[in-house]
Amino acid sequence: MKLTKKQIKIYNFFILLINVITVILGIIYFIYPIYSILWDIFGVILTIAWFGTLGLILINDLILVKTDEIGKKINHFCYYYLVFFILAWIFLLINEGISSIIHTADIAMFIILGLITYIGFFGMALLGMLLAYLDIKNLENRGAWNLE
Amino acid sequence: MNKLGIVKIVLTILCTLAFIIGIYSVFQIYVGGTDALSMVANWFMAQIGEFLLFIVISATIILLKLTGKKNHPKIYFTIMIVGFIIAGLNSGPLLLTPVSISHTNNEFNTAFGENWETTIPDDVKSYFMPSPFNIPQLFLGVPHKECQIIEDILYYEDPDEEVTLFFDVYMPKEFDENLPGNKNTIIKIHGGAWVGGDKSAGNMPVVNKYLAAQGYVVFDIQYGLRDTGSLSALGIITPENVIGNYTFIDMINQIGIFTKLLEINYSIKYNANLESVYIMGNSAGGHLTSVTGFGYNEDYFNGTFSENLNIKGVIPLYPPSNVSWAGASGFLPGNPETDPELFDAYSPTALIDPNDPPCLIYQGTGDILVPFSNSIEIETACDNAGVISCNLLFPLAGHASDIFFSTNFGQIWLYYLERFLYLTQ
Repeated sequence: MKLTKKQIKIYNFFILLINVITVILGIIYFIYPIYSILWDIFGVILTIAWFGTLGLILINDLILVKTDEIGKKINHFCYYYLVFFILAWIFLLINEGISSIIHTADIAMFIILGLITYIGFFGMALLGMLLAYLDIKNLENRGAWNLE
Repeated sequence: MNKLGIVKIVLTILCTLAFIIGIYSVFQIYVGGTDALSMVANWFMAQIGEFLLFIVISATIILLKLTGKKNHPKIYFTIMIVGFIIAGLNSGPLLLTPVSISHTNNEFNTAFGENWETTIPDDVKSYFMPSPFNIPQLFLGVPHKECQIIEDILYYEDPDEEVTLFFDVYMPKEFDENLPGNKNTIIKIHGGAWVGGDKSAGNMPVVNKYLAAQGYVVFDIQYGLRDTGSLSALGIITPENVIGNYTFIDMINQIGIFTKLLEINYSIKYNANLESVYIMGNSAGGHLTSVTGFGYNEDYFNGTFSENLNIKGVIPLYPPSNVSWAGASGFLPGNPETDPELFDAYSPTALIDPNDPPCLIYQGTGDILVPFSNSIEIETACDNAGVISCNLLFPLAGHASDIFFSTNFGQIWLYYLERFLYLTQ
């Protein structure tokens, strides 16, 4: 069964929206990291955003015409996203590990850990948004997609 | 070969490497080995499984894209199935989080009654974690709590062994009487198989800061270690000044000296409340914690400890339950047949009696270094003696699985630890 342009458009809008929400909640989380029920909701949104964006890449892989110029560009962007995604998780893991064993006023280390966390987390969300935006923007280009 | 071809080969190699790490992690989480590398991997793999989940999924998708469904359908579906299975299995410890929470709740219900949560006032709860687990904290971490830290205070010197022992003290920024910690004292004893390890960076400092911010006065102490002559995996964090040729007897004596100095000096200097004292330690430190806490009122240890501490709780994490445990051999003179009293005195399970304080245990079921049967034995001894005990068993968690502060294990542990401290103070 082939996917329709409308289905892809809706899914891309959903990914765009959920990544925007992720960025907004992420900013609030980093500014005000006090426990709240909001963080339980944020956790669910985060998980959907990450899996949803990976799902979008899988879908893109099935429907993109990679010989087309635009299809090729979006396909390459999917690779960039996936490679960054792996790096981002390594960054988050480094933060998790090192921040557990430092304790004194090691300001430089705290800044480095903060930076790699922000880069990793916001980078994933921003690239996810960009990917969905690229899809939406180029959806009208018939040659780039193998759609119904 | 063109540039694109090289990039594809590099990506394939890196993604295959991610696969191999994922498979190794699955092996360590669910099976585990007994070699040195497996022992170290056992500390980390269950804690980083959720991170590997995403890394492996991403690597799988890259490999799928490189393979192409139309070009190699069999390889494509094989990669897909294997990749998602590896990723799924790595998420096992995370997916079992509700089981851990349910089990721990049951332990608390049994220990403190079904309504234990309602006995904690709302103003106190406002300082506590409102839920045992949340995802943003797991992946994005949390900032450290602010507190006062005074480091490297000398409390013991042994010129013969050229050993000097220090401690750090963690206190709230301001001693507010509303803080739930109420200046209660926590003595923390680090792990390291009695041959390695250290206070501060080697003893979950972020937990010390968290507890100090709640009003506890946390003393993170060194004790003399046994020189094994070889550099262990813990060598890099073990300072020279603590290496001697010490037995369990010496180690407990040094902790005893600390308790005496605490009574006559440090409690006044650092505002520590000796009416409510907790002993807490992990692994080898869990063993010493148990001997100190359960042995505190034993005749055998008369004169060893200060007599004026009111021990309100014993908190061992993944502790060996007795000295017959393989890793503990050689730390006492003689043998159990010729000197059973000595060996019993350093075996937590043999020390537990009805007068002992409540006990909170942390244990991973996937611990290959100190198997979880040890914590069951301590819990059973507590039950038999009528001592309140909660054994927090974390499915698939390995040894030292609380090292990473904000993992699912660390979060649940902290949630119930702060409540245990309040309920038993």
